[in-house]
Amino acid sequence: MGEMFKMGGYEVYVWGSVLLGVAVYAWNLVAPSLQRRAVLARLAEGDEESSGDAS
Amino acid sequence: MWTWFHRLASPPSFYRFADRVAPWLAVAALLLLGYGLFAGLWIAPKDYQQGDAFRIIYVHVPAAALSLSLYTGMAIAGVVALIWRIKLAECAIVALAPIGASFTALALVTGMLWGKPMWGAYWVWDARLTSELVLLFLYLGVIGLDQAFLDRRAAARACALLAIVGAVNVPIVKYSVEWWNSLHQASTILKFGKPTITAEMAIPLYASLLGAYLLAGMAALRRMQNEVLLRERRAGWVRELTAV
Repeated sequence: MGEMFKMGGYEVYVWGSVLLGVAVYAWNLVAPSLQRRAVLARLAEGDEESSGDAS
Repeated sequence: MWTWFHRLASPPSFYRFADRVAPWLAVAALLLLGYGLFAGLWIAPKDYQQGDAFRIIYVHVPAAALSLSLYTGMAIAGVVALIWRIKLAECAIVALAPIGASFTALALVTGMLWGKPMWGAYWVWDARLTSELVLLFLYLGVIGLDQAFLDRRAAARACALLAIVGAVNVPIVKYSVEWWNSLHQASTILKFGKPTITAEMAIPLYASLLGAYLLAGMAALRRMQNEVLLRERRAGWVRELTAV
C-alpha cells in the first residue's frame, strides 16, 4: 500500500495536484452557498446603500 | 421548445429550475469525480514514459478544458447580453468568471507541478503556458470590473465587452501547441478521431471531465441564482422568498 502512495517518487507532485484539485472542487461546491447567505443577509437588511440599480 | 426557453429566461422560472437541477448535478459530479480520481490514481496503469507522474492528468486536463469552455460560455453570454439585453445572460457572465478563474488557476498550478518532474522547470514562457496565464488575467479582469460598478446592469455590460474582446485568446490557448513549438504536448483525448490513450487510462479521465463540468454547471446555476436575487430584490417573488 505504501508503494501506491509513493507514486514512483513523484508523490509530492501527484498528491500536491490532487490536493489542490480537491480544494478547488470543494470551493466551487461551497462558495455559492456562502455567497447565497451573504446575499440573503443583504436583502434582509433592506440593502438601501446600494440601490443604484433601481432603474 | 422556444416557449420553454422563453419561460426559462424569466428570472423566477430560472430560479425554480436551478433549485430543482443543482442538487442532482452536485451528486452526479461528486460520484464521477470520486470514481475518476480513485480509478485514475490507483487502477489506471503507469505511463510507460512518465511513470506515475502522468496521474496529474486527472486533475489538470478537466481544469484546463473547463478554463476554455467557461470562458467561451462567458463570451457567448456576453454577446447575448449586449445584443438581446437578456438579464439571465448578464447574470451568467458574472457567475461564470470566478468559477473559470478557479479552474484556470488549478490548470496552471497543476501544470507547473507536472512540468517540474517532466520538463525540469515549473514554468517556461512558452505559448501554451503564457496564453493560459493571460486567460487567468482576463477572468480576474472580469471579476474586478464587475466589482467596480455599483449598477449591476452597467457592470454586466462592461464585463460582457471584456469577455468578448478576450475571447480572441481562447483559440490561441487551444491551438498554441500546434501553431508554435511548445514544450507542452499536443492533445491526446480532446481531438477528433481515435484517442491515443488506452481505455484504462481514458475512462477515469472522461469521468473526471464530466464530473468537473457538472460541478461547474452546478456552481454556475447557484451563482446565477444569487445574482438574480440581488437584481430582482424589489420583485414580489423575491420578497416572498426572502420573507420566510
